[in-house]
Amino acid sequence: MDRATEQDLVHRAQQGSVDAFDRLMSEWDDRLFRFLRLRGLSHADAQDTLQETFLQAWRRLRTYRDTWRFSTWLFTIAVREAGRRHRREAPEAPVAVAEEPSPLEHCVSVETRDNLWPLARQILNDAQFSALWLYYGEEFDIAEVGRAVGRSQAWVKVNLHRARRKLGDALEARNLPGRQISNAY
Amino acid sequence: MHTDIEQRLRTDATDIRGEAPQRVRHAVLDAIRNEAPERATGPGWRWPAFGVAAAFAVAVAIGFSQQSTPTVDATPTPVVAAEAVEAAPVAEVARGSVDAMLLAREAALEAEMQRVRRDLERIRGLVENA
Repeated sequence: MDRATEQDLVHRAQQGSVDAFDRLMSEWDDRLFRFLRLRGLSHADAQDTLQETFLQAWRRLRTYRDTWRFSTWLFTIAVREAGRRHRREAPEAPVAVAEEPSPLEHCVSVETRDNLWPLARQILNDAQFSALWLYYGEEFDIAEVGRAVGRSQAWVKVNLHRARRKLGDALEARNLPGRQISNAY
Repeated sequence: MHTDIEQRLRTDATDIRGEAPQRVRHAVLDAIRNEAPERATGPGWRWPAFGVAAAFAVAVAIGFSQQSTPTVDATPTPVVAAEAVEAAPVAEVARGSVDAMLLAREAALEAEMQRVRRDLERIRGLVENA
């Protein structure tokens, strides 16, 4: 969906069009759901959080300004809702030691088990992981990532770098390829 | 052999799957449509805005109809009352419902009828005393 179409749908939804809002949801629900699962939410929790994200978006639609892409705004709400749910339901939960497949491993096919993202989820905190996914997975720019995770652009740059370094160290420890770290943003 | 981590993050991201169940969207749509009736046609901020606007419009109309002035006729003319109604946040009233406007105009008409009755009584008194 191009930006003009998206903004038109947003405008119509702001005027009260449920159909326009439904089209926006159908455009973004898979990607938001995938992000919530990647964050470590169970299937049921990811569904609940996605539903709450869309409801919050509808209720606050008049506050949306097209300074940011609509997707950035949606992910901002999703990050906040995921954090709220995580704090409420697992305040002290350590990073899961995977006796059962993690939500992320469910998302990764058998053929791609050497995928870097499960490792990233394992070694990065929520904010770092979210920033990393939004930047590389959703191809947000630095400003959009900062907006979505509620941090400064400097924080995003620093933590993307740290995340890559951590991944590099972890890969080196496992003697896997991918040690070369880029500083490019 | 070293692979660029950035490149791997990008390519590996394309292997990540996950489809949102359709029922999430349906549940959201049901929730939106089952909230306040006006929620089905727009975000819910309109109802309180309408309530405030309607209360303001009625209060203005009633206030003008009850306001006493040192003139012979204490009741404002319908034109004045109507102007007061027009001066209310008309856009918000119209957005919410025509009910508030009808209420306000009803009050203005009632004020006009009272004024006409008083005029008739005055005329009748003048005729009887003539």
